[in-house]
Amino acid sequence: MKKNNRRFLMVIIGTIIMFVLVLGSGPAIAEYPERPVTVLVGFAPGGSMDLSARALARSAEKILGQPIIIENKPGGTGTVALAALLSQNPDGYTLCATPSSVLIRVSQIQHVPFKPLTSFKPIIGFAEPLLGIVVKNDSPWKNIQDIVNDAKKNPGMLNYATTGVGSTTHAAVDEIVVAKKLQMIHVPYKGSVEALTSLLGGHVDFASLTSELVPSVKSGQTRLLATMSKKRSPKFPAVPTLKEAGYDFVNDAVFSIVGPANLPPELAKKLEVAFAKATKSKEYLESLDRIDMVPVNYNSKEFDKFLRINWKKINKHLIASGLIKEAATLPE
Amino acid sequence: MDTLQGLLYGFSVALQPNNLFLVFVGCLLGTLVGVLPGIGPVAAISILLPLTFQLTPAGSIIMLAGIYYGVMYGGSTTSILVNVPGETASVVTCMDGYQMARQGRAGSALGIAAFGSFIAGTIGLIGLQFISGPLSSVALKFGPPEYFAIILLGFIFISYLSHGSMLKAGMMAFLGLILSSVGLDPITAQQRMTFGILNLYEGIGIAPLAMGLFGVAEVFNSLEKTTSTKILKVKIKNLFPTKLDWLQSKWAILRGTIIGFFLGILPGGGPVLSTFIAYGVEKRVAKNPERFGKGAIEGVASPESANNSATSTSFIPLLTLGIPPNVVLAVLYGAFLIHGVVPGPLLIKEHPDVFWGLLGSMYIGNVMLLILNLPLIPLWVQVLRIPDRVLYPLILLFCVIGAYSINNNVFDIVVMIIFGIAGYLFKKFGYEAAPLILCFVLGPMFEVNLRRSLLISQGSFSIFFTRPIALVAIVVCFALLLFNIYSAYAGKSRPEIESE
Amino acid sequence: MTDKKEFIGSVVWLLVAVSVMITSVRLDIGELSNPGPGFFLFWSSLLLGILALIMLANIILKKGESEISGGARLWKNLNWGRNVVIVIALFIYCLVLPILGYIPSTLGLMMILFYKGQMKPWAVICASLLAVLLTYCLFYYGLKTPLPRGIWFF
Repeated sequence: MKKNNRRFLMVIIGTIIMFVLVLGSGPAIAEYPERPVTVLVGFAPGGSMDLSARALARSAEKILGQPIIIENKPGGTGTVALAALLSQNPDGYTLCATPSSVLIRVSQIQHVPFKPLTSFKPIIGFAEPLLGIVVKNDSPWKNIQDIVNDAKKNPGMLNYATTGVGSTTHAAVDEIVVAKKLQMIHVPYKGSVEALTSLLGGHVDFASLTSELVPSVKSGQTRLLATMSKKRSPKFPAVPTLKEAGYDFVNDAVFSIVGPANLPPELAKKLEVAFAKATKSKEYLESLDRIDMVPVNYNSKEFDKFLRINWKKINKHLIASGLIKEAATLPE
Repeated sequence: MDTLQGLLYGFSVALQPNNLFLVFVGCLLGTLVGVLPGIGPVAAISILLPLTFQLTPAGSIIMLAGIYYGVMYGGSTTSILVNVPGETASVVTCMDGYQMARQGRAGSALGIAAFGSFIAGTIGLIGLQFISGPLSSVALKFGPPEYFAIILLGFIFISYLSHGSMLKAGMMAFLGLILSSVGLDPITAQQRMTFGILNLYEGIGIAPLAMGLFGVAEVFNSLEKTTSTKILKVKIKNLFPTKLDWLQSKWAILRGTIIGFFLGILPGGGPVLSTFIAYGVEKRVAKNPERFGKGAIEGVASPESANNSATSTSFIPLLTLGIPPNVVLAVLYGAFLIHGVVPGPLLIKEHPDVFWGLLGSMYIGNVMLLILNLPLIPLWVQVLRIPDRVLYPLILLFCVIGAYSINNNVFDIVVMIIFGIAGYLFKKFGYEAAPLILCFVLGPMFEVNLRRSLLISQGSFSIFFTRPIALVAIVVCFALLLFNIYSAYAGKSRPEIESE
Repeated sequence: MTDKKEFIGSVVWLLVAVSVMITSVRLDIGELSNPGPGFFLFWSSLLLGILALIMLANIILKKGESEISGGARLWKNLNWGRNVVIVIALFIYCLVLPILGYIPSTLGLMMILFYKGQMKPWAVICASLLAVLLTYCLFYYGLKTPLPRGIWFF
């Protein structure tokens, strides 16, 4: 038995050595990209972040000339993928697609093992979900002002659903609450569908939701009172934005591609150009429309600025609403 | 869309070539899993979940559900031929099925199990079809307090209906609740018991947990056994039950169907429990109960019917309320979410392809299983001959790959191994893992609905007593609890069910 | 009921309950009308603790009836040493998987698993190679699962 054991061990070692010898030679560096590029996504397949990233990848791989592989690494509210990106070589072959909210919102609420504003090199901001405030179709409210008037008359009586505590949809209503000094009850749900179910069942008075609101608005079950993009949505041109309604709030959850901070500048530039071109392709715009996403276009510099400005804004908000005392992670 | 139109639409979805293929694959894999002792539907669905990422939501749910009811068909084969349950839901089938096989009536036993399963499964589906629609529209009226009360009722059923020690079931349930609260607090967004580990911020995943408790643990338990199983060498002829067989078992099939029908819907019930109850009932109503355990065909027909009808109806609470009533559906619930489909009152409206497609596919799957299963029995017998030393390492490998590919993260493999060890010890010390995993899924729903209710009512508990549905559920809870305490005090033991 | 194994079980649960309860208090239990993050944990652990105590009491009260220790019987006649080796192998596998990549590390793991199943060395190597390559083709090429590539990109 003992002899047998030793022989077996030798065989294992032999096999391993063989593998090292055969496959040990690394690839030589030619012009970037000379092999497929991996984009990590911090959310499950089939979600809006995943689908948008795939839409962008399909268009961009034609421009880059190499396939782009989407690798889902869900976990930690999207932060696991960002942390995983930093453990990879900054050779431009691993990037991460992330909503800006994971960088500047989630990281203020929970501690993350990176510096949200300096650990990453923003490459492009390419899409955002269609956020909006909806009421049930039999509600008397026709616009945001109606809600505000009603809330003033009945302090502490109205309640609203959002997609989670500290989420962008929560922040939007919070902006109204703070601006008009209202008292309303926040009922957080896990995602838009749960919140929408609650709204349709009449358990909450209004709801602040993400793109999942679109089918229910189109079928007439709910009414959209305001959207949160910079511009009105082409799908609902009659619906004003929150900004038009007089509130200083614009969706801060922009889907973006980031690389590690020490990504060589020439690679970052090349990627930025390629992705920017991809965001203009017809194929990309059509696939975004199908999943009810809104195309946006922030270049690297603009997006960096966007992150910095919104970090401060979100920080103020989160502290004012009592959710945090200070940011859980240092920004830089 | 009314029910009939819906069903037609469902067939049109399920009969699309790729979906039809998925029904077939699901049923075949399910039967295989059912035939193989050790690995059950929970582990199988968790392992195969990542394989469905490339499919449409309807397609993947159709396949995963196929595994679930396929298992119920396959389990009986091993019970009858080897006297080892292929799956927990066919434990009782061993008692009379194996005896029948020894008397040379293996064909009759296998045949009646398959036909009984088919009849019961189809009746269950008709129930699912007609109850789900109306229930969904009612369920939309269920707010946080109603959900809270119904889940509370579920918890009481889980501990009441568990076989084995109620004390231990209760402890496993609370452990499940504790484990479920790891991660983000749903109301204040604080971290709970994450120990600063990023991968725990969203909580422990249901799939690695289930794979550990039901897959890896099973492998550990089997690997340490030194004995091997023996397959009865019988010539299986005439799989069509004789006229006498039918006469003897027609009422048993019907009784089994009805028992399974209702136990399937109850939280904590489900196929496994229904087989024990169905067997007990048969024994009690039989004219000469001493035949049981010696090859009575009713002892095969009734439990096998019960588990299939329970399988069909257990989809009702999941698809209409979003509450999984048993362990397998708890895992399937996770699969729905991964595919971006939220089970609940809006499911029929928002994803008619998933709902009606699933229903249609289950009708088709039941027919497919009946036709396929009987001729394939010789093949399954061959599968049973695969030596454990080949089979178990492979199961372990599939568990490892399955755990990894859910999140493409090694952390999930570690979680799976840890729960594998835990599950192994649970079994050793006589604890059941089922209440744990069920409470693990129901726990967050319970907590969040309690806290949402209190948010809406501004901290007043009257919200649970002023709304009729919630009130009824809570009254039933108290009644059950009181009855439980009374019967414990009076020394009347519950119908004790031997587990495994 | 008088079993060493039940005794061990109840003590373990009691410890779990107490430690979770401490955590829950730190998390802020809140009050009945406004539960905090620790509320749910607190009650779960409290009830778990109570059940463990009931079990412990049952064991101690019935101690006189029989003194058989069930502890030894649990492991007797069983090849549980095999499981220890497999668990260790699995943990090592988790450590090396991201570094070495799927093929080499899984090959090693399968060799150990098959070897522990008392196969002949040549069968072990053939079976492991076959299992690894087949699963790699199925998952990596067939299902596009991004299996870890490791330092050699495969």
